[in-house]
Amino acid sequence: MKDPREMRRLAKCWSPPVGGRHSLWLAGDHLLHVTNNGYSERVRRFYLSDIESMSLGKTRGGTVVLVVSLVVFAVLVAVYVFSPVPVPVVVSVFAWPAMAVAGFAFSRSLILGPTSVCVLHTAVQEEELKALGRHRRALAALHELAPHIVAAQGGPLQPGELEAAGETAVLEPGRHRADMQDSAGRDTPREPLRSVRWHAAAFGFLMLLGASCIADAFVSNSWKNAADTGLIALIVGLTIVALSRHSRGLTVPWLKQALIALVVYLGGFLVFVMQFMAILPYFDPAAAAQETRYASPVFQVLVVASGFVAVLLGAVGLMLVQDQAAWVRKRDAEKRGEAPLSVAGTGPAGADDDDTAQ
Amino acid sequence: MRVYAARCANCRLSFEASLKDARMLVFCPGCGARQDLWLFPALARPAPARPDAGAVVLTDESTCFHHSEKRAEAVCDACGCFLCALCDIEAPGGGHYCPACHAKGEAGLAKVRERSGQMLYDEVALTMALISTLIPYFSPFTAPVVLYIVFKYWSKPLSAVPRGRWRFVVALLLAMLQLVGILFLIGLLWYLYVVEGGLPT
Repeated sequence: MKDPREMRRLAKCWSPPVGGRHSLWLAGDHLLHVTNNGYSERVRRFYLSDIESMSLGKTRGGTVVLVVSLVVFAVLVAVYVFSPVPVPVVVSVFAWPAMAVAGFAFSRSLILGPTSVCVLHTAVQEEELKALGRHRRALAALHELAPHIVAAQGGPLQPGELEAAGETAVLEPGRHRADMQDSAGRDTPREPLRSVRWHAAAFGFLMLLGASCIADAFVSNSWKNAADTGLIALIVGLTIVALSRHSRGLTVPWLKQALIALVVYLGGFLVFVMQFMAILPYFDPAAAAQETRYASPVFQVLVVASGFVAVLLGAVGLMLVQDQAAWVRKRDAEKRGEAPLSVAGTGPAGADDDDTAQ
Repeated sequence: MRVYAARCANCRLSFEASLKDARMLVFCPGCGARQDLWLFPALARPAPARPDAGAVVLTDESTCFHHSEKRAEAVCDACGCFLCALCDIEAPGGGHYCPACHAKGEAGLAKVRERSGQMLYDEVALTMALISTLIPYFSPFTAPVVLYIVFKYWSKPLSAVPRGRWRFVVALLLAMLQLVGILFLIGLLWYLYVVEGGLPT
């Protein structure tokens, strides 16, 4: 028997942007799943002798990131290559970092491979191991882990042992039927969003970016700066909300973590405000109203069109999120045995919080 | 025939698969995604008798760590033991604890929770040091705080898993550099205003 204190890391995974870093450690008689959100860590322990099964399936998240980052990168490159006029400095300030981020996301997704979801089952729990979020690494880790689990449980399964174990179902058939159909008999969403609030924030952000893009084509630089200030304030708010929710149940009270996040993000925000204040003395509303943004009408049309597309996509996304959140509230109410709620109704507190995944 | 209630990782649809082998490939009936199932002996064999447990009454069910005749219904968030309804202590803020872990947290559940989650002071110190390096206005306030954190928590366990102290070292170096820079600026101002009598024109 190995020393139970001896630990070895099997896998690690990073969930951007503030989802945390996850790692899976193998000790002598147990597994440790560690979630690190940058300020604190949470540890889940699973004894090898208790693990009944593990399931691993590929997801489309990695492919989506790959395609989206490639498209963003290609569009930004195309703007620089095909722009009839020199790209303004104010555009470059945003475009170059965006290109760097998109290029990094594309390379990372390409190197790490497809994403996956790995769920560990014991007799009384079903936990997602987020450290095994990349399919290739997860498979390697499972191949490495399986012999240890089998050894801890007294040797491998013999042929026919599973069938001979009895007629009782491991989990009763139909236990999860409520997940597949709602009370009205409608088909439930095929792909419930796993993080409703995060998706809402992302779609909201997309809409604001589109609006900012349209504004950039028509209004003055100073007004654009004011809009960006509001945008950053919104992002700060969303981040704090997300962080405070994410940290619920950790050692450090959520309020303390939210305050840390506030200090960190407010620091950057204050610097931005200071810079904005510095340019205010030069702000002339009358002159700003007359200011034209782009010399090329084709480029202006391109910017406006992409802005409208972003706003449209964001609005559709928000509608989908609303639908998903209503479905989650309804399903949770049904699981608790309460009367079904109307789709437009407000669910109990926390019903739509984070996960549709159980 | 035993069946296994699987959940598709892709579309989250629940479906049932017949148990045949220790490792099975199943396909989701909803979206067709492939699911890799790894089944372990604990699924088919009786739960192992605990060191302090007697005979297991229901052989195909997992039992409480402390009461072998009772079915397990929860897991201790601190030590990971299976718990029956009797042993399961629900914390006011959520979470389940066994009596032993609960007793160890006599000063409140904070101590118990430390075992399943804790503050990463090295990351906090490094983050503060890096931010104050990028935004120097904060340095006079953050550098002393970083030094305090580094010296207070240097010798304490950092994490439940092996973890190096390089973050503390980097944070310490950055904080000391910032303090040296601040002292240099103060000395320069003192020299210019007190010794030289004002800024050179």
